[in-house]
Amino acid sequence: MKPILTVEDLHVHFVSNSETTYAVNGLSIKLYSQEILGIVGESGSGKSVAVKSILGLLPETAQISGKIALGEERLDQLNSDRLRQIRGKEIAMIFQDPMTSLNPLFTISDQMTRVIERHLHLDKQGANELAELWLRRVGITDAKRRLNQYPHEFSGGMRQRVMIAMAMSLSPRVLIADEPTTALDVTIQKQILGLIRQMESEVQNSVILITHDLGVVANTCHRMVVMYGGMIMEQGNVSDVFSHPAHPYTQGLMDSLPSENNGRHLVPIPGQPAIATTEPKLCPFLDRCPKSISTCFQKMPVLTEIKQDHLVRCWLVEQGGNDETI
Amino acid sequence: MYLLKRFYKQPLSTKLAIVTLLILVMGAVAADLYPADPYKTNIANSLQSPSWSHPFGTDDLGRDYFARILHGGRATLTVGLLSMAISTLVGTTVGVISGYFGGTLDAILMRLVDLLMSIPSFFLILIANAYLKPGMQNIILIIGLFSWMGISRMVRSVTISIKEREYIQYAKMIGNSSKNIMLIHVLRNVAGTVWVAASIQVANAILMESALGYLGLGATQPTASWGSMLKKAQEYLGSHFYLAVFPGMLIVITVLCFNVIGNRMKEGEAQ
Amino acid sequence: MKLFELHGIEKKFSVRKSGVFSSKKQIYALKDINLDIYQGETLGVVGESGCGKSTLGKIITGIHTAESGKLLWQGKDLSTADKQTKDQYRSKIQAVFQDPYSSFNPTLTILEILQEPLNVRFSLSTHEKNRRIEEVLSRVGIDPGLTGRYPRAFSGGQRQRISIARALLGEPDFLLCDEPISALDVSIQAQIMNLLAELKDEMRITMLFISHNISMVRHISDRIAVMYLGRIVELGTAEDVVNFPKHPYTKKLLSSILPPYVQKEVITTEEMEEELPSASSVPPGCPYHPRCPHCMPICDKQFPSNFHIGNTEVACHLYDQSTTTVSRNGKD
Repeated sequence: MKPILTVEDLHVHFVSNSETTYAVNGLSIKLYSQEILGIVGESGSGKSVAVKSILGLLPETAQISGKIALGEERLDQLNSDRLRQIRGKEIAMIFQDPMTSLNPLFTISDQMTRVIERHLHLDKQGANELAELWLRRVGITDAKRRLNQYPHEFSGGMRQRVMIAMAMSLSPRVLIADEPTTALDVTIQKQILGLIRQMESEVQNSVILITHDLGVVANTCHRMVVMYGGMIMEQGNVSDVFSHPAHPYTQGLMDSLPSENNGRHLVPIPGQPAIATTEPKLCPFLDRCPKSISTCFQKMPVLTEIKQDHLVRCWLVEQGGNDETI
Repeated sequence: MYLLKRFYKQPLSTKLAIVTLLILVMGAVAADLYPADPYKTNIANSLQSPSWSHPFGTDDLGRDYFARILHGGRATLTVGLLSMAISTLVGTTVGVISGYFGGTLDAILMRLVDLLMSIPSFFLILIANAYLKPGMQNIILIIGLFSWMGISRMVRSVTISIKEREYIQYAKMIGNSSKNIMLIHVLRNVAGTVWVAASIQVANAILMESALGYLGLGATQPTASWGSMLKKAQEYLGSHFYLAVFPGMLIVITVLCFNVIGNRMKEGEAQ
Repeated sequence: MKLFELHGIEKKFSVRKSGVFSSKKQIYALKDINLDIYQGETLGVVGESGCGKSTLGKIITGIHTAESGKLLWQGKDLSTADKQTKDQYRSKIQAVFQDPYSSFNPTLTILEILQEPLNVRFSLSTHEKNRRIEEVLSRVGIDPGLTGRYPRAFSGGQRQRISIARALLGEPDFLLCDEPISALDVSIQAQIMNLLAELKDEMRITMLFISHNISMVRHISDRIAVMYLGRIVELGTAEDVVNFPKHPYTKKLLSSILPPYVQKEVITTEEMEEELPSASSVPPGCPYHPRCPHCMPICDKQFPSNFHIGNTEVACHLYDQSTTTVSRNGKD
């Protein structure tokens, strides 16, 4: 099967006069049609930087290398006009705080129709009808009246719904959702994630969902990628990764959550996530890893398939897989 | 070392302003080292053009104009800095207290500020000046005491925003006294705002003093300030324009320098 | 023994409506709160944004004062207490707040920050102060050699450790934890939770643990209070509230948690809620009635009184035997 979106060997460095930070270090991701791919990671894992580089949204201090392709089209080689066309029309993005992407001075109708008119070349009335249709599809019943309201008249959850309607109205091939429910209450979170799932199956597009919350991934995504230090640590189907987490970092994340069976004492990961200021030569998780072995201190592990479509970057599984020494 | 590093990182305009101000201040401090006496009259030598023996020429009474500019700078900068100190002190105190306590006290203090601000301060200063004996101390006091209102408003609004921070709520919770909270927590965090206001205040005070001097209400003869020198020079504007150019240029340069530094500080605050 | 007793606590905030001539509007942050906090227990408070859980913590620690109602500390009414009692009360409470970035004065070094509770409460020599600070920093896992640094040099998790160190230096009886882990990374949250749990056991501190993260609240608490729009709607042991929730809102809240494992049943969109009531427009009667699947005619008229079901107190008309004959079991 051909992927819709391909990221190959992506590197993103931020250069300032005092130091260089290595935010993304050789990231390769394939997004297939009709799937929801979850990217999980903590602060500094490079998950947000990676998707922003797909859309060309990084500041000028970022040095980007690698291949990014939407279908056959190389996004990293496009001029800014074509990229602007693709942004929104082909790849849409929704953010953690919808208030930052909505202009408080214009009504929802103004903002939605302007985008629809520009990308789909519809007239005002057609655009308005399409906007109303999409508001209804995301579960806003009183769509006609709601269209003429301003962003502040919507609650946080409703605003995120408007953002989804706005993104979906252009029928993008890829929807990128960056922590879409982090700012919302739990009862609303479930509704928004349900909506994202429903949209994906109705419109048959693909979704990249970025989150720090394992519960969100487990209950929304089909496939997942666990990132740490700008690299993929583990990747696979959600059911495989959650039932048999193979990387010590993934295991650590799961153990640090309270559950019925881990009693009074949680098992945290020692230390804290850091962003590399030198080019990583060894596993970025090494200094926090409770299971490190001597090989870890010699060279960088590679992503290894331990089961079909289940990949892990760790010397432990390589050695477990074939008992021969390396 | 740290200061040098900070200085090195500044944009060119700020560097120039700092260096110029340093030169001016040094000139004012070291005015006595210059051999010529600014008060010694010599009518035979009056109104000479600049030359090697008198770099800025001489005035109508034959006094060395360069020496007078140096001593005048001392007076002008003293007025600027001391009245800034007064207005910053009063403004910060009123602003912090008003913002921190809020309520009735805040309402009273801020209405007082409104009242004082609604009267053009220059006229207030003129009136006050008419009742008081002319002289340096009085000018410093008057300028200082009638120009703190802007600072107090700025400090008050910063205080109000700081007041809701968790470290102040914490200090209140464990029973730290209001005095301590204001001194340790509030004052340290409004310091940046105060510095910005203060540097601009110096420029304002110098302009004010110059204007007073120009109206003949400033420094009294034979003491010179740049403002009063400018007024005196007016009589000879047609024949000896340099008498007006030197004090005039210096006022402009000094005010500009303080404003440049103030604006730079404001940018730094915003970051 | 009861450490705190809250009787009918109410707290209003006035908010200016938009527009130049409009009057101020009153928002009820807390309405008729009745609650006892027992010595040595950890009481968890859960609820969504705007439910008043943070305000409750601030009332108990004296950061805010209630408009009406009584707050009793060790049986003494704090609104009428003399200065000595109040000082005593203040010296026995400490807090850890949510935002590790605004809980410290950015212009002070860690040493100066940690001296504050010592200076207020004790008169100690510099040597003794430094000794205690060193001891407590090592306890929370921060290198005592770093006290000369400013807060910005530390990560969120480290700052929260320093925050806990500051609280410990005050030798409190009572510790308020207001969303202490919400701003932290998942792997760091567990570190902080373990530290809090250890300290609680070692020092027998009474704790009020406020969070929207129900699994974490459940993990650390002995009892849990569930709040909705300024009211406590359910109060019981952590076990009972989580495993046998009574109030429809508690049930909804618990069913909304996404567990960190793959469930058989994927989430769907059956339940879409549009205009949710907020603190500025609290519905009459039981504030939950517009969202409640069991809403009855009485629910929008009268706030239910507390009903005792086992060890749980629940404010819901469903449990009032006199007004409803419907069996409770059939309601879920």
